[in-house]
Amino acid sequence: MPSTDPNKYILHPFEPLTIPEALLTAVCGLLVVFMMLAMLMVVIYIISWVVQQIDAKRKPAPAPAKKAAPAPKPAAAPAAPAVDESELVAVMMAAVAEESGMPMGSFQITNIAPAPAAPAAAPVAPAPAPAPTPAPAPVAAPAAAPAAGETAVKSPMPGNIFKVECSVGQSVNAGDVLVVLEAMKMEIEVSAPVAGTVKAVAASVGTAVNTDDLLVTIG
Amino acid sequence: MEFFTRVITAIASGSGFAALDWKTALMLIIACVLLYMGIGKGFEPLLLVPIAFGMLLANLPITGLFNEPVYDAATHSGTVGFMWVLYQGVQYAIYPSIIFMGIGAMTDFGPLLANPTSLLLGAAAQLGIFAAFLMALVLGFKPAEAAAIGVIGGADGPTAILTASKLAVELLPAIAIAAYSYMALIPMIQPPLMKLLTTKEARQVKMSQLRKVSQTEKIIFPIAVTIFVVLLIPDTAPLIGMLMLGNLFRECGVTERLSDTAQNALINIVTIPLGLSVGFKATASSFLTFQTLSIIALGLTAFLLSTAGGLILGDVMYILTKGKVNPLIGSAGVSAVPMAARVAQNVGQKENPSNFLLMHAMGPNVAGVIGSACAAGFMIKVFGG
Repeated sequence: MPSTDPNKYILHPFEPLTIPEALLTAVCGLLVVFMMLAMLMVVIYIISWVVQQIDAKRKPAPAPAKKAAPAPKPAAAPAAPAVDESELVAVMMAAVAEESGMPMGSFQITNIAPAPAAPAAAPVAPAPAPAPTPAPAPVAAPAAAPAAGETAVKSPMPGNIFKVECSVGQSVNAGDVLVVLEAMKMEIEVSAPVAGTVKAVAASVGTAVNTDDLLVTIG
Repeated sequence: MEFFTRVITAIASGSGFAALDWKTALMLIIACVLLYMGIGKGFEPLLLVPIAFGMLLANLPITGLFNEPVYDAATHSGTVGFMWVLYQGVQYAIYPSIIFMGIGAMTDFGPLLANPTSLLLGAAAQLGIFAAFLMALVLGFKPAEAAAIGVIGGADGPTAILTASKLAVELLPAIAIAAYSYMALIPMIQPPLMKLLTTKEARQVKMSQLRKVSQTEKIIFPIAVTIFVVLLIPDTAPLIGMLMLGNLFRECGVTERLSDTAQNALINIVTIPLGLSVGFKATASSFLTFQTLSIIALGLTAFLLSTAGGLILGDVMYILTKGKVNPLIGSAGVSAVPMAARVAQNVGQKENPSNFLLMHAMGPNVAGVIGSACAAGFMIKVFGG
């Protein structure tokens, strides 16, 4: 029960309020809530800023992320690697040649997709001798990055794959459900953005995915 | 034979049947209907079953379950009603705080950290609390009671129970039942209002990806919020403090066992006595009144107004950001985590199948929890609970 000790309350808990008092209480309350949360917003911005400053100082140069980007491909791939990556590509080609025993020049490393679109490494295409890739093995997205004319369906949010409702070779219409994700105890349907044929399914039931992980490729 | 009749009469007159009147019988029927809704219809069963059973026990006469402790110093013995003991956790607002710790351990504040402006949506969705407070005053409730009723509009069960236990104990069962019923009805209550208050174009807006939040930020957040919010409104300490402790358990990475206990075992353990105690306060004399009906009506209004408040600020943000914010996430500012965010996701995806609002709606949703705790702290402060 509220105490009736006058030092404990601002407005008497049991005596009727006048109309202006009541209105002021409500408006004041809403303002207090807004101010609190607005201040909290500022606090969060400050925290984020400070943390980012500290993180930036701790690791000034993050490890070259490009290592994973270019993918080894058999000689069939014609595209030339980007200029600034040529050195890296040369190193990688040497490494692949050494590990797989394939003669230098029988294959070429090329960045087959625009770099920002496919950060995950594509696997080694089946060559005469399956060459192990020197780059860290791809984990979440083992499917090949989409070429021109193909559409990559990516995960819209972090979650678990609950169901995969399509298979390679199946033709789908725009709007058909491809994958069902589970997040926050709720099932979320990921549907096809375009009509086409399912070229590859990277999603497997039960695995956890993050935002922008490749789920399905439609061509 | 005469002895036999005497025994039977004595047992019959001392039994509960003799003490039953029509009001108590009606309460027993209500309790059974609530049990049916929980078990048969699957309507928030985890809460409704203990509440309804508590109601059933409370209205069975002369059980002595709610007797206050009697201590006999001469023989060093005493008796106390079992339910009286359990009720102390509600009386002194212990259960709501422990439940808040569990909620903190379940909640990922990442979406809020990635998009701090969603805090404002969480504040706007507290509109219903203050509007319902005014309406309750008009209906003749005392100011402290009106404040406790208004808090239903935050759609936050533990907060409503805590406020009611401090400001209006007699209304506690009606307030708790109203708060939890409306939380369960969110998927039915909110969508019509969401369609009414937003344009079709705005509902189809796809929001840009949230940035990734580092673990350091997630660890600093609960500590900073506790210091900051509790310094500003000390009355929120039992709620915000525990919520943030639970969240720290979750994010700090070295207390997984505590986090696991807080969000699973402990929250279940506390839900049982909480539900029983709330039900136990619903006796015929306190529940079968006109006040209960008004509380249920006011609760619904408060809830609708809170949703509307969030949506209207969502619309304002939609206009200010020139269409980058989908106003539907404003409706998630009511603090029922994660139900309200799920509704925003469902309504958004119905408009545009490739729209995924769940994570964006989680920001206002968890902000709503903080917002209604602040609103409750304000009410408690003003009316001296």
